[in-house]
Amino acid sequence: MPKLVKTKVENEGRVTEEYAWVEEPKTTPWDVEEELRVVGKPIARVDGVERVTGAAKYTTDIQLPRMVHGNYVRSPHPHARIVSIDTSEAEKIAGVRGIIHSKNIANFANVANIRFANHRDFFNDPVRFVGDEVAAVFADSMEIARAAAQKIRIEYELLPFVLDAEAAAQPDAPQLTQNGNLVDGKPSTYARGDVEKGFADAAVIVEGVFTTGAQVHSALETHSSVAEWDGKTMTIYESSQDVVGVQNRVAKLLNLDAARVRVIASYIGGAFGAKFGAGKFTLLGALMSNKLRRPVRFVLDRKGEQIAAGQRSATKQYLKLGAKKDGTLTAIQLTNYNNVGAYASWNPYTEGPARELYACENVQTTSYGVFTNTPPFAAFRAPGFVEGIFALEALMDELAAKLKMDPLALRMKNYSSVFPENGRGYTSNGLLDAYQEGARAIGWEEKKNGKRETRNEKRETRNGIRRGIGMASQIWYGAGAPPSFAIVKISTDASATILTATQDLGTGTKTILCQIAAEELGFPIERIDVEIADTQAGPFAGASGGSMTASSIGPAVREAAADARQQLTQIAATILKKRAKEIRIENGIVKTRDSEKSVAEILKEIDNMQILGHGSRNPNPSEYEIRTFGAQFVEVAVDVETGEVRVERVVASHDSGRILNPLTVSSQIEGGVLQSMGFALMEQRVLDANGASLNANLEGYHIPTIADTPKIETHMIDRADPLANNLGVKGVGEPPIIPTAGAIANAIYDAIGVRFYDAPITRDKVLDALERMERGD
Amino acid sequence: MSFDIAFPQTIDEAVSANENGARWFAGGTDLIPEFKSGFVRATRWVNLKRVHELRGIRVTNEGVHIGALATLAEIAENETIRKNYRALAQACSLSASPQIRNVGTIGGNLNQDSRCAYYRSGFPCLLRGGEKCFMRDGENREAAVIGYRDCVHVHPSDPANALVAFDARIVVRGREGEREISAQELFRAPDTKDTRINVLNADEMITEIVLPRVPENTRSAYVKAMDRAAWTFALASVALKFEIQNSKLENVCVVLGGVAPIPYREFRVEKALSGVEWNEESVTQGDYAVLGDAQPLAHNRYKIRLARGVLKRALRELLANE
Repeated sequence: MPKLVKTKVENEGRVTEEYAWVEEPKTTPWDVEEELRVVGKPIARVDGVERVTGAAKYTTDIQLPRMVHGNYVRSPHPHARIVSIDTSEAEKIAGVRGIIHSKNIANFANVANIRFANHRDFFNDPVRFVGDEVAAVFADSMEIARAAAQKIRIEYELLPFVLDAEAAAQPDAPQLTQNGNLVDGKPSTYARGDVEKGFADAAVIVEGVFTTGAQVHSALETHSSVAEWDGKTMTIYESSQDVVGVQNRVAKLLNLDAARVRVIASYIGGAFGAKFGAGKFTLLGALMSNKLRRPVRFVLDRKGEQIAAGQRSATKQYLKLGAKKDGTLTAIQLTNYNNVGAYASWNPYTEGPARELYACENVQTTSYGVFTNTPPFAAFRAPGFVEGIFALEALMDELAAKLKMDPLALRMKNYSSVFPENGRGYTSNGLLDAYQEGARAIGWEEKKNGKRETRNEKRETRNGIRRGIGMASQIWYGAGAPPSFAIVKISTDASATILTATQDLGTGTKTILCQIAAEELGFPIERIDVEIADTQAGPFAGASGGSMTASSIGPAVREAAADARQQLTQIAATILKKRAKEIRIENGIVKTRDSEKSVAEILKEIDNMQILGHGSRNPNPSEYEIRTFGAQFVEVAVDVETGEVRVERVVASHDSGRILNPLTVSSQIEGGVLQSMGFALMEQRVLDANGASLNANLEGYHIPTIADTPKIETHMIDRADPLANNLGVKGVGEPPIIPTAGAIANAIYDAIGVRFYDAPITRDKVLDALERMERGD
Repeated sequence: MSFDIAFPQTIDEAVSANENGARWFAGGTDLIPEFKSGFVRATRWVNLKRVHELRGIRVTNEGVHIGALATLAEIAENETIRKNYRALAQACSLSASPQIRNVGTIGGNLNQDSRCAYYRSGFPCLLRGGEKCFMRDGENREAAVIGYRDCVHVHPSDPANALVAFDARIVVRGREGEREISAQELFRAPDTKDTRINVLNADEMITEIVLPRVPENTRSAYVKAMDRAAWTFALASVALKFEIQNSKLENVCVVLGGVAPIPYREFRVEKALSGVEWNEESVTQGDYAVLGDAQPLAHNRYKIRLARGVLKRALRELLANE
C-alpha cells in the first residue's frame, strides 16, 4: 500500500517540506559497478529527426481555424499611475475582439482568485517598469491587434523611480510596494561561527566589490500560448517547463476541474527557468477563448520577450575572505544586492556558494533582493550561483596570489567532505575527483605553474596575444524529489510506452526515459515509446527545473518499468510453465535455462491484453545532503591591442552521479559553458537613464555565436550515487553554467595581470584597463 | 496594414515608381523586419529585384563594376575582388550573418539606416526629427569619437570603408538623371539642419559601384573588432590599403569604421606609414597617432586604442601573408 510521507524538497536553493504519496520500492539502486546495457550508452535523441527536419511542432507553430491573436500594450514609463485608459477608438477597428486592462479585468469572473507572486496583478497600477503590461488587445489578426494597440489612449501620472538596487534599498528611495523595496521585506541573512574572530585570526585578508549584469534568457521560442475552448475542455498549447503547473492555474481561473484542462508542450524552444507556471498571457488567452469561443494565440514578440519575460538579475557583491598562511579559510563575509527588478517572488541565492562551497567555520552573508523600476527577475539556469561563483572564485584566486599558493591547491585545501552548514555527509561528492581530472586534462600544472619564474609574472606577448589559464569550482543541487509518477504499458506486440506528464526542455528527457525503461524491461530501445508533455496522457510529474527532471521522473519510470517487467515475467512463467525466478528478459527475449522465446511470441498467446506498470519517485534519504559538484578549467587568449578575449578551450569536469547518456550530458555541458561565456564576456541588458531597454532584440543583445565557441571537453566523473535514488543519478542541467564565467575571469587575470570585477568583461573594459596599466595607474 | 508593391523591370521604371513616399527595397533584410515592427512606415513599396541592369559584377579595362543588386556574398566570393580588392571582400564577409549576406545587397548596405540603439528603440532623437541626440550623454559606448556633429551615431556599413580605401565611385540615378560621387562623398555627418546620413536625395538610387584598377603591388586588408566573433556591427574597424614600392609602403589609405558617422580617413596615419619599410619591426612598432584628434564621450575612449589595435592587426595580417 502506498503511504503519505513528508519529505524535504529542494529547488534552486529553496528547501520546503512537502507531502509525497509513495509506494514500496520495486527496485534497488543499480550497483556502482553494474554493467548496464542501454543506460550510460551514447543513444541519439529519440526525437532528433523531427527536430532537425522541422517536423516538430512548437507552440508557435500551432495554427487553428478562426484563431484570435493577443498583443500587449506596454508602459513607456518606469513608474506611473494610470489615470485613464480610453479604448473607444481602438474598439472601432474592424476585427478587434476585446481589450483587457486594469480598469476592466474585474469583469471576468474568478479573476479575483488569481494571485501572482508579490501581489502582481494581471495589469499593475501603478506600472513598475518600462515594458510593464498595461492592456492586452485581442483581434482577428496580429496586424489588427497592433494597429488597435496604437489607438488606445492612456493617461499616466508619472511617479519617482529608481533603477539601481543599492539605491533602492535605501530608506528614502521611491517605494515600489506597500511593503517597501525588499523581497520578503528584509534581507536574507545567514551566519555560522564568528566572522569577526575569523578575520582577526586571518594572516591574509582580501576584499572585492563585484558587479554582474542582467542576463536575458533570450530563448529562441518566445513565451507563447494557444488556448482552445471547445465548450467542455480547455486545451492549452504552451511553451512551458511545467505543464501541470499551467493546468492547475488555468483550472482555477476558469473554475474547471483540472481534468477539463489539457496542457500540451510537445516541443519547447528554450526555457532556461523563465517558463514555469502559466504566464499572464496564458490566462488572458484562456479567458478570451472561453469568452469568444474561439482559439486564442498569444505569443510574445521578440521585444516583449527580451524586456518583460525575465532575466538573471544584476548583482553587486561586497565580498571579503580571510585565510591562514597555509590557505585555510578563516572567514567569508558577503553582502549582496540582487536587482530583481519590478517583480519577483523570491530572492536568488547569490550567497549560496559563499555558504556551501568551502569548509570555513566563520561565514556571514546578507542578501538583499531589491525591487527596482527595471524589468523583472525570473529564474535563469542556476540563479544566483553563476553570479556568486564569479565573485567568490575570483577572490579565491586573489587570495591564492597573496598566499603565493597555486589556486587549485588553495581550493583543495578548503575542500569540505561534509556539508559545511550542518556537518552532514553527502550521498556522494566528486569534487576532488573533478579537480584532479580537470587539471590533468588541461595540463594545469605545466600551464599554470611551469616555465615561470614567479607566479605573478605576466605572460609573454606574442603577436599582441597573451594566453592565460584559470579555473573555478561548482556546487549545486539537482537531487530531484517526489512527487513524480509514471506508467509503463506493454502491448501484445511487445512494444512499451512510457506515460508521464513531465516535459522535455530540449535536454533529452525523452531519450533518457526510453533508455531507463529499456534497461529495466529488458527491451530493445527501438520498442520503447514515450508520451510526455501532455497532462491528458500521463500521470503527474513536477516542473522541469533545478536540474531535477532526470533525477525526479527517471526513478519513477524505472519503478514503473520494474512493475511492468514483474507482471510480464509472471505471464511468461505461466505460459512457459516455469517459476518466475527462472525467467530473464534480455533485449526482448524471454530466456530460461533451456529456452529462448521473444516477448512478442509469448504475448501472441494472449489477445487484447495490456500490462500496466506504475511507479513513483521515492523520497530522498533524510540523513544526507545531495549536491552536484564540478570544476572547469579554461584557456583564453587576450589580444592586448584590440581587447578581444577569445576563450580557446574549456575542460569541464563534473560529478552528477551516473551518466545516463554521454551525448545528452555533453550537450548540457556545452550549452551551459556557452551561456556562461556569454555572461562573462558579452551578454548584458542595457537600460537608458529612464529605464528603457536599448537592446531588446537579438542584434544588440549579444549571445555567443558558433564562431565564439571554444573547444569544450566534457570529463564527467561518472560514478553512480546509489544513496541518492535508484538510478544513482544527479542533475546536470545547471552545473555546467556555474563555473565557466569565474574561470574565464581568472584566466584573463592570468593572461594580462588585470582583475575584472565587473561582468560582462567587454572590450571597452579590457582596453581601458590596459590603458590604465600602461599609464601606471 | 495595407500597401502597394511595384516590380519595375528597368532602372528608369524603378526611378519613376518612387513617388508619394514609396520605398525601394532589394534584399529587405533590414527594411522588411522594421516595416513589420512598425518602425518603418510606407504604403508603397518598390521591389528592385527584377531590375536586371542592377545585377552582376563585371570586370572591364576601367576596373570592376559592381551592380547595386550584387549581394554581399557575391562580392565576398568574387575571384577578382578577392585577389585585387581583398579588403572589400573581407569587409563583405565580415558583415552580418551568412543568411543576411546571401540576400543583402551592396546598394542596400551603403544606403542602410543608422543602427543607433536610441534611434532604433524609438527615441524621438535627431534622426527621427527630434531635437537632440540621446546617445551623446547616454549609453555612448558604441558612439562616434570623431567627425560627428549633432548626432553621434556611427555609420554601420563595413564595405563602405573598403570602398573609400579603393577610391570607388558610386553611380547614382534620380529623376534629374545620373551622377557620380566618390565613396567618401557619399556619407555625411548628420546635424540639426540636415539629418541625412548620406547625400542621396529622396529620388536617387545607387545603381553601380565602380572600383578603379589597382596596381599589381597593392595590398589590402579589413579588420573588424566586434563584441563577439561574428554577426554584429563594428566597435572599430579598419580598411587598410597600400602599394609596395621598393619594399616601402606607398599610397597608403587608412579608413576607420565604427568611429565616426562616415568612413573616417586617417590622413595623418597614412602619411606616417608612407615610405616605411615593409617589415615586421618598422610597421608594428610605430605608434601611429591613430585618432589623435578624437573627442571621445564618457564611455567610448577605448575606441582610440581599439582603432590603433585593428590597424596593427591589419598590418600583421598582411605581413603574415607575404
